[in-house]
Amino acid sequence: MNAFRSIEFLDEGIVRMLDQRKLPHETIYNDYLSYEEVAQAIQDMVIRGAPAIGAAAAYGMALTAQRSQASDVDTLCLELATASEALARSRPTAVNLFWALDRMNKCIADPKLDTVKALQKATLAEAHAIAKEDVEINKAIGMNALSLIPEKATIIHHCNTGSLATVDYGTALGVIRTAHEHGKEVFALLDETRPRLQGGRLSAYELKEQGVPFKVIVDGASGHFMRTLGVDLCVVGTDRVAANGDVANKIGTYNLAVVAHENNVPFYVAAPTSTIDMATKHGNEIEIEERPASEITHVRECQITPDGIEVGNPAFDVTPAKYITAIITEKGVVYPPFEENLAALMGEK
Amino acid sequence: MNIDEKHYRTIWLKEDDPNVVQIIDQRHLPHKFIIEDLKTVDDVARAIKDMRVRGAGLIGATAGFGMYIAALNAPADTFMSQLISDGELLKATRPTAVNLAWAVDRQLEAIAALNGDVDAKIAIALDTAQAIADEDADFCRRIGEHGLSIIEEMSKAKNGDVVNILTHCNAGWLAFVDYGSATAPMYAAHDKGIKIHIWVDETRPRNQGARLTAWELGQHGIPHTVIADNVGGHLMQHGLVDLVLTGTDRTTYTGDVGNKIGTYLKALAAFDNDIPFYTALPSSTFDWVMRDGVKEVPIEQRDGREVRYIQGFHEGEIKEVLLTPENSLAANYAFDVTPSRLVTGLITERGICEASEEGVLGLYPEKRK
Repeated sequence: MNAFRSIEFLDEGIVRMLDQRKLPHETIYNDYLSYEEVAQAIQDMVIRGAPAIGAAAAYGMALTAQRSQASDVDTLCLELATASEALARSRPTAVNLFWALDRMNKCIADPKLDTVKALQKATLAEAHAIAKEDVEINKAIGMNALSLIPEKATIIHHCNTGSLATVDYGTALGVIRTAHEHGKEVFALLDETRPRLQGGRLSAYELKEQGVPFKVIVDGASGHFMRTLGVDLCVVGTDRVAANGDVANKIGTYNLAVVAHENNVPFYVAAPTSTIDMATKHGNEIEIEERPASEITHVRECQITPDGIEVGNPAFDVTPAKYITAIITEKGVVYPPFEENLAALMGEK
Repeated sequence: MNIDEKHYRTIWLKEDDPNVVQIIDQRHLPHKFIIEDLKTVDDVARAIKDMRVRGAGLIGATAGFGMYIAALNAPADTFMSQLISDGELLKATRPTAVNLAWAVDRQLEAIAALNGDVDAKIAIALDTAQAIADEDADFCRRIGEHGLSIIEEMSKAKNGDVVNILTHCNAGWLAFVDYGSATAPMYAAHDKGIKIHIWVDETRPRNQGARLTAWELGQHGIPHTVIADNVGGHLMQHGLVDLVLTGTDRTTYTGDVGNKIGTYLKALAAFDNDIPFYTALPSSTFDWVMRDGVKEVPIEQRDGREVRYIQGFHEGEIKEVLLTPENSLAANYAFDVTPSRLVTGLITERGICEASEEGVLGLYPEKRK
């Protein structure tokens, strides 16, 4: 385990998050006392990464229940419904957010929870369960991927999908970590991942702690490495997998998948089943979040671009299923045809 | 191109002192406009190596003027041998851009061929330097005219709607003596009243797109939007790009395009989405020897520091911000090679051709062996 956790719930009714905007240079924890603050933290990317956002939303709900002054169950349920809506509006692309809220709302709807106290206890237990399961799921993904990783492997990774993007351990970065912990000679090439540099800042920070050898590269360099120096595989996380196997993930993933395909480099997606959205039939139905221009024009306080320019800043893109070698879940590795095999995995067939 | 309504080239002789060459120190753009004097060969070598000047065409022109400065400073008794060793020094500053060696060799040949005293040799060195610069500007102007036809056709096909062009790095006015290569058709189209909009890849690690291309397009009033290098594929998937237009640092006569790292990814994304991918270049950027660009074009590895830090402007100062953890390793390959099959066409000063040996030699028949 790492020394840090991306998110924790303190008994006195506080959601504590590691402020990932400040990493790797400063390690600062922020405390949040309301769902509004939690939603804002998700929006501002204090916490990011699909599974971590899911856990944050769940804890936001538990926090609302914990701190409520409501004297009856109906009032509390109303407050929780408001909280759920606010949290759902924080970011649009990662399905885990909606999945976690859904799970919380199902828990809340249980008619057996007929006192405020019971509801408070149940929501906290459910949020804890989501967080705890996330860690177990990530480890299972790592184990399921193990046979796909050669004994000596150079691996390209995009964005950050490690402990910081999850509750702990990580999905795609967890795959690299598991392989390393099992004695495989892995070397990671980390896409720095502009604009927010989750690769250069966060994945580098995590792999350094874990002693996994790596180099940071600019996002434009992956093709060159594949063609000249040899790359054994790519592994990325995802914010949402559509029923047909299309994968929404951090902007630039599509470019990486195309160049991997071109160079016959296997392209794997590590995805907890909570990220698989069978209700979304096709990747083009996935809403792509547009983020603020300042992420492009500035790095920290430094201005990069000329004054007053236009900026395009979509946070995600969709990689068509045809470029994906396999999707690695906690329940097993899914190969094409994804439409059939994902349905089978998700028990819809 | 004009800056604050005054016409500038990117390199010129100082108005009141012809022994001094002046450049714009591009490291400070877009935040500060600083003109620098070059008086010695070391000044010139440093300007190229530190990327105060950059871009294939401008590097060539700078090397040309560098040899003129070398001639000014060379002792009479060891004149030619000094020039040859200065030429070697200049050639060693950066390995990938073919124009550098081309300009140095052209100067050495011109100077060696002249039967005359040192003053006459200095005069021919100045003439040659000016000629290299003038040709560069003239070639870029013609590239603009030829490339204009592609944009014009697209504009017609879209009934005059905005033509969206994606470009990577800075193959602009700043990379040449005037007009630029990839930007020349954009300037030509804009000046003709054709509606265009440019997607500008920021182009990590040195952000030449976000800093330089955005700056010069802005100076000229061309609508543009800066994006992270990761975004191009997404825009192409959604029909927001009509054309990709890049420059090149070295293109083989077989049509393989060596250019700023990340160009290969853009070409693949364009290919995947049936979007034309053109590269604009003056013929000085062709390598007439190499057949297989992917295997043969030397790729410069630059200091990992460029990846670990980003440069920006804060409170009136150019500052560097550390991005990665302290001491993280970074790999920094400055270029990649896009194989010819992904390139729709090459736009040269003589016209547009297929990115193939047949296509290129069709335009340059004198290069047939």
